[in-house]
Amino acid sequence: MTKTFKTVGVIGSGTMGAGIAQVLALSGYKTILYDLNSDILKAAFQRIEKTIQKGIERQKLPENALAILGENLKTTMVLEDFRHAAELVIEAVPEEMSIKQKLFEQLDQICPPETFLASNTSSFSITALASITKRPQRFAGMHFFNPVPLMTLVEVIQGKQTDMEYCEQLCDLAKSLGKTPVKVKDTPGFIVNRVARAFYGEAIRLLGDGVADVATIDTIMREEGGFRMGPFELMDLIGIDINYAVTQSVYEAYFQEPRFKPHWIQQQMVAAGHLGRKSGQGFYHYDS
Amino acid sequence: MTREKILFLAEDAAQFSSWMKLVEEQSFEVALQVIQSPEQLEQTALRGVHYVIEWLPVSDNLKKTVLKKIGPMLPENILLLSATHEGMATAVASWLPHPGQLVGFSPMSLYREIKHVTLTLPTQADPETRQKADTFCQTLGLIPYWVEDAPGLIFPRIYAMIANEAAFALQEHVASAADIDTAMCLGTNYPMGPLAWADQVGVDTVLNILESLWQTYREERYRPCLLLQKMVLAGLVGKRCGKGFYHYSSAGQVVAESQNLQEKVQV
Repeated sequence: MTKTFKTVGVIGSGTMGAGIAQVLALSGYKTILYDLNSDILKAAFQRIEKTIQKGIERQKLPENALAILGENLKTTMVLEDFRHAAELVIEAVPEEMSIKQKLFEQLDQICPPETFLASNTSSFSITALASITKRPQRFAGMHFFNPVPLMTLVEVIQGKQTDMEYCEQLCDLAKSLGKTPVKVKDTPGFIVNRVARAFYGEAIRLLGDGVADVATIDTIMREEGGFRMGPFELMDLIGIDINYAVTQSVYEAYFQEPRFKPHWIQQQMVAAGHLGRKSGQGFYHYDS
Repeated sequence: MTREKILFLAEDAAQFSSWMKLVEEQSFEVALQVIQSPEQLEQTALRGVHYVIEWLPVSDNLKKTVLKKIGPMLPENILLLSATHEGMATAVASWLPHPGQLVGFSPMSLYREIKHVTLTLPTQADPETRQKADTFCQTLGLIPYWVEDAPGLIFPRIYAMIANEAAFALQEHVASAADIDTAMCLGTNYPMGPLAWADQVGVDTVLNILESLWQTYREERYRPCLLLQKMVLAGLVGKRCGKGFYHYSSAGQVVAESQNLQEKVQV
């Protein structure tokens, strides 16, 4: 049995949800984007249109991309709309367990048992989220990267009870969106957020130990290591608070594995409100 | 004016290709000694030398044996640049009768042409050694970045930790080697997948860096993944032997992923 998804629901119209909805719609999937109120949805739709407009100007997208979007992307504020409409619903709501818990309880009741569910979570266990529903075998992780239209990676995460075949279908879906899927077993941080911990964590350790300063470490990682950005520049871009939260989450999820241990420097930066570019100060200073 | 002489000591002639390009453009007399065992060292090569640039592996004690042998033959005013990324410059310097003449450097650049070099001074460094190294770098058109002496310097240490984590993920069957590398390249713009990098620089080199960190700090954080240890014991050190996380053709191209490596490596 190979199932092709024709209509896909996306829950949450933030940066990730809107990005996912955009690539689905432009790839020819009937897409239904859900959020709580019309103002949020209207703003999301406008953001998507603006992104597409830019893509057309840069000749990255076809001239008729906006028409394709208009034809394929619908918005809704009614969760019951997913009862018959979608074969797959992808969740991209804020990373708060209480929000996700409530949403999946509702979706599990609304959607018929054959509907597939996926979460774009980056920090929660897919197995734990799946257990909220009565269809853990039809529940998987589909982790996109920001900005979704540009980043080609999708981590397809198999929970403890997820059907292998469903993961294959999600991989096919990702490929049809022009993405490169990788299959991942459900473990904290999946691949990217786990392996990348060392890039930030060891750099902070070197800084804390006084081996070199921020600018020297960044320059060496660029000039010797070939990285596009050094670890401190990148933390400033991501947000030191966000990066610290991911580190804490992976550290706790691995029962305080020392490789993932956060550093007091991160805690101190957050306490001081030095969060990176967004606050004007992080490991570097930024002008407005 | 007589030309100053640089002597390169390497395990493999290709190691210093990027350095060779730099020195060719200058008026140095250049000598290269390829040393795979201590007996291969020709003492006459040391005659009239001004600079020694050494990049020998710590494995099989090759580095230590060779440096102990040439140390007494090197006058105090000769600058010795030693690749200390597998350990600490202070430890390497302690093998020499004139430890103050040594400067540690990182040879790990991902680029074919180098413009920058990470340097470190051992605790025993002579007061004028840094100036000497700066002048030498300036002659070669290299920008030096000075850091404190610690195991693995900056890039080799950070990347060895990334490769260790990737090996842990592979060992735990989280994903395949190719998918782990793909994820890091596409998901966070790494210039190279961590496992492909380990194959490139040598899985044994990655393990040596981690062992040095582990022995220096004695923290759980630095313990090397069992898979890496077994690969080195089994001789699966990467590209140079044709097998590591991937299989390579004689031309060095990836021909296959080592399937279920974590199960296959048996010691």
